[in-house]
Amino acid sequence: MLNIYFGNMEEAIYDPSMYFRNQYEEKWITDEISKRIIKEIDNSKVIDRNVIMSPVLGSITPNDLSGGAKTLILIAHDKKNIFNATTCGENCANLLLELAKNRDVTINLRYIMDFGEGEFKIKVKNNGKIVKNMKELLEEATKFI
Amino acid sequence: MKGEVKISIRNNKVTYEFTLKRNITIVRGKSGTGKTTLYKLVSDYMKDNKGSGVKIIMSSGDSCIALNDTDFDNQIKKTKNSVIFIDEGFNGFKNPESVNDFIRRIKKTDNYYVIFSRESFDKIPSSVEEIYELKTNKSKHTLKKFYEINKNHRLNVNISKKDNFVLLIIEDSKSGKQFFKEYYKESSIKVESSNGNSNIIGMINENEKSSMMVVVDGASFSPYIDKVHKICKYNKNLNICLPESFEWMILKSGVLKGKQIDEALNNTSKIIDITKYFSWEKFFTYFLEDITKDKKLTKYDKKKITAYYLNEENMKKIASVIGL
Repeated sequence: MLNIYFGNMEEAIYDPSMYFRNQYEEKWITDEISKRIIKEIDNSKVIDRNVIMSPVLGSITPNDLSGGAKTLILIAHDKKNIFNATTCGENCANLLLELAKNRDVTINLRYIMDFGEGEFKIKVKNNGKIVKNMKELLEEATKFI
Repeated sequence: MKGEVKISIRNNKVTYEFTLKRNITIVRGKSGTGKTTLYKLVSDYMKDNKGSGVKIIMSSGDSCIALNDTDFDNQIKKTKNSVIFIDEGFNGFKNPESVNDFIRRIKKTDNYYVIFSRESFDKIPSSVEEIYELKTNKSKHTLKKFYEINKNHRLNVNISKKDNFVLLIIEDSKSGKQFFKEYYKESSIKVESSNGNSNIIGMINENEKSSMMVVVDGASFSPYIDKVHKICKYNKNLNICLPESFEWMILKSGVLKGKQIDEALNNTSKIIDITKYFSWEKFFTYFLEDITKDKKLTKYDKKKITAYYLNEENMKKIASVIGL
């Protein structure tokens, strides 16, 4: 299940892009989930561990990916840390729910991400409440940010 | 800086072209739209202008600056009349204390700030009109307004909204509240003030079952708009109205006339001294009080609205600015 802590969270990694630059592993880039993240979020194609083809910028390195793509790759591979997913735009919402389908994923958000009109299951870590749709999420999240 | 600033930033692969209209511009939206690339271009340009391979053209102002984490205090201190870009993950936004330090530093400066952030900061009261997302057409990036606001200053949220409401919540606790209380005194519509922007969401949540119209100062509502926009999307009973401010409504309504007023409304960004007025609603209050201070009939006082603005004809004109 996806767990979200809203607002300032001391133990979360505040700048995932910087953390990614110093900690990502090359093998992560070529696995299926990273390829999907890079395709869906940055509209780019993984060529090999160090080269990604962007339709706008040409060939780029993993460090040149968007903040959202880098944060999602970290969430998918680094299970020890909690990341500030405010760097993820609302086009990351479905992938976040998917990453949390078969395990507990905790993220920090400093804005209220729109998870769409469908049903979902998210735990608001600030008070432990489980919400099932955006209306419920808004009621809880606005208490904290 | 004063007035609108047209900026073009390019290298051999991408071009960014946009116009800044106020001291604070916020860029948010989807991931992967090119915000960080723009920041990096400015950062490269700072290292070695022409030698960077980045070309920057500005219609006015001294330079474009990419604010860095480690020395932002000094950087802001020595930068004047420039456009300062701030990327996601900026250390000054890490916690409430650092945000306070950052705000203290930027207030009373004459720079324009372009902030890439989805997070909203209560202490940065900027305009809802100046929140954008990046749009890409091939290799050219431009800014597109993030929130759609219609001609009656209503926030559009892709669901049909009724304009018939039983409760009007106004952020203004002084003249604005007095005005709407008087305007609706013969009707069944209840008028309440939230006594400031920060209580708006609480009041909306408390009254979620009533049909509500919420009138706030668009010029300073940016810290709350993301939350309110989402609540509005999932609550059909809620309508948000975002004029610049109540004083702007009076100036716009035509109940006062003069070239000075037209100039203030049409060329606000050229006139306003951003070192004195961080956001436009404060300027409009000052301006309206100032131009009427020696007038017996039309003298405007923010604390207590005078009879001139409460006669039936003038009330109708003022309310019609927002289609009420």
